[in-house]
Amino acid sequence: MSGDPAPGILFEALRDVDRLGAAYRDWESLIRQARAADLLGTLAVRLATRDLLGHVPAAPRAHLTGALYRCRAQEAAVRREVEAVRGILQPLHIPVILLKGAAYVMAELPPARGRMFSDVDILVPRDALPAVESTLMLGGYATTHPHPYDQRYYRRWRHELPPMQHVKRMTIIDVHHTIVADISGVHVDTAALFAAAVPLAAVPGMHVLAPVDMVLHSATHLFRNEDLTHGYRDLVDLDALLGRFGADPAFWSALPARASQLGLGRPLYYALHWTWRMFGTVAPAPVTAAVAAHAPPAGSRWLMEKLVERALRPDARHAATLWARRAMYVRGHWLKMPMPLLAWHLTVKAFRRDEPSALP
Amino acid sequence: MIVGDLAAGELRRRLRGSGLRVRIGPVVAEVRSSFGVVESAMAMHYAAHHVATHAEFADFHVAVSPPFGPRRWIKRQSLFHFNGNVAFLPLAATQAFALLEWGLNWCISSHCHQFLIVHAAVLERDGKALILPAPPGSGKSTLCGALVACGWRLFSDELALIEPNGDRLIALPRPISLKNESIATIAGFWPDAAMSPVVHETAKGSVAYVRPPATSVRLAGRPAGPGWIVLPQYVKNAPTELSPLSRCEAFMRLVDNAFNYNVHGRAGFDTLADLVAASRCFRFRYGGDLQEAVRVFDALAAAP
Amino acid sequence: MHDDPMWCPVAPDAVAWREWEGEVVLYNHATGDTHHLDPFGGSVMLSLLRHPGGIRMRALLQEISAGFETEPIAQLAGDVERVLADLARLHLAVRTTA
Repeated sequence: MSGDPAPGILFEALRDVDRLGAAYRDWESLIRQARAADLLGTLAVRLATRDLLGHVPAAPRAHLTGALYRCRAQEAAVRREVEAVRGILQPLHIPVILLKGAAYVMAELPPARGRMFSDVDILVPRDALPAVESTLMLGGYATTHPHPYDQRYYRRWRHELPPMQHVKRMTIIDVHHTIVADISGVHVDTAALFAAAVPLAAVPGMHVLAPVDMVLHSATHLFRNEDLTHGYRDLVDLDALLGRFGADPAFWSALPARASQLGLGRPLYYALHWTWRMFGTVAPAPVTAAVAAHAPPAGSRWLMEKLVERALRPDARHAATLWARRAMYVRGHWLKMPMPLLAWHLTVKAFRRDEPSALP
Repeated sequence: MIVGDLAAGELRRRLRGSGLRVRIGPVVAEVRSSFGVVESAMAMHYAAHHVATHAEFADFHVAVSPPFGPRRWIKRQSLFHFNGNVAFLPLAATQAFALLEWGLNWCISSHCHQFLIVHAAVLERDGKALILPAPPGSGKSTLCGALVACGWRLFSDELALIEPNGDRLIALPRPISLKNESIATIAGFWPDAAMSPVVHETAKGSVAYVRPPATSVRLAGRPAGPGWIVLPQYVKNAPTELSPLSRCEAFMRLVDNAFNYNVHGRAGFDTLADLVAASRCFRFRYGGDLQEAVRVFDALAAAP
Repeated sequence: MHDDPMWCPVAPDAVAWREWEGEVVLYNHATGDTHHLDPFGGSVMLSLLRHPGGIRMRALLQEISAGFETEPIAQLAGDVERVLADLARLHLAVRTTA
């Protein structure tokens, strides 16, 4: 590997989970970093898969098994929610593409295991948006941002409906009609995405993105605005997708051309570059050669520093610098936790969504 | 070593530096704070709790500190941090200890999924657990205080920790939180209670904490089996009345008050069902006569 | 037979239940919901669960009436139908076209 600074215990643990055997001593820091990076479930799944959980001392193990329970319950909840959304939208007879976490769960892709996804994200044709919105409302979903300013912000700048929340289940759905390539607001050709989408056998009417598109979307999401919130976690997911799809040579040969076609060459460059640097994932030589044309101008070391910094963020010793960051808002999440009950001992409604990332 | 064994300077040094690690039942919390009110509250309420070393595993890393910026000095505020991140909106600096306690409740109820966790007070007598599930305003904390004053072992005034296999309850002894009228009531009923100064003008009114008895803290490692599930209801000046409660209703009340029932799925259903099946279930209405109330529960404990 | 519909429990393997004092609490993993059924509703549901492949209305009525005070069959049928409609709404039971 190149001479990167040691990015931390979590990074090493995920790269080589077998070293977390009976002799491992840094459980406290590891659990903290994993929790801060939203990767506790992923770590737990990897340990469980390698039959290593039994070697973990009881105290840290409780956190790992707790995360496993949560992930399992969350996955069941995602499946139920997807089925509910399918039923609600079915009469519209429009194609619906599941994105991100819901897609990983329903298509049984590796990032699904151990991650906790909090919303269902769907992509629908733009002209179907009004019908989708009203149908969802009839199905019990209400907008979470009734203020006209927020409505405009979401519709105009984020190209999605403001998140809608089911009044009974408290689950949240994000409805997108496009994927934005970068901060300049260039749109990806949504029709091309629909044309290549893969139907889900278990969920008639619903699809996931084609493998190349899913990787490109993940890369775009990760590097959009070059903001890298949850960058490390999302990179872990992206690497898992490359690992799964990369077994098929046709995937690699199609990838550069598709990236160029959709205008997503730069995110693809970053994706391959960073999965190589962080995880040692190697793409076939013709692919890296083709993608090199999309490399950023020389001297973007700031990006490397930021990414490494994010990977280091879980380290508690850096807590002193956190005053400069925004406060972390605990996102209302998926499971039917009695939210009024959770708030019982808080003086104000303290659970809020993540703030939207930097406005364009 | 217990917190009470630390010299005053040492307690402060740890709170303001690398952290004070306290064992609270099944978890170890590392606490940091620069607030004097937190320091004195920790010295009072956690005096009997074991201090853990930095070599031992700490489950939660929390801090209550002033924000940076003007609110550090003017209309002083306090912020709760969990694992290095701010978790909630700020409170007035005078409420810093209450913020810590609420924050710890949140840590445990949000993360300790090795247990099924129900919002309830839990007390123990003869190895059996008395569970009082109840939403705020039911008088559960007042009852809890009274029972502890009369010798019941405190497991928790807020969080029932239930082991999924075998239905044991695990103790988590921490200060008992009292609100509004309950403060004066318990002060009158239990004159020897170690109570911290009342903090006013929280969103819940006035709040005060009572130190858990040292025996409750010392015996925290001893779990309890199912005993009684009692739904308390405070109705001012009403006669004290204990009446049977259907098991189905007791069960649904536990489900409604559980923090992580859905995390456990079917195992959660079975755990609570087994607990209910093995417990005697009652409704309890009382009007403020705590002596009478305690007599009723003592009689329950004495019954075969 | 249009007047003897078949009813099935929706996901019998996904259901866990307990019965105490005649009432029933029930967990349905397919929906994640937990229910509290009164003795009559519980008895209907438990009958369905005893017949995971489905049970016809007439047979169901016979099973139910065996457990309760005899009432005019027409009245019983009406009550059972109302309960079945509720169970259907809760995704616990489904009427099949068989």
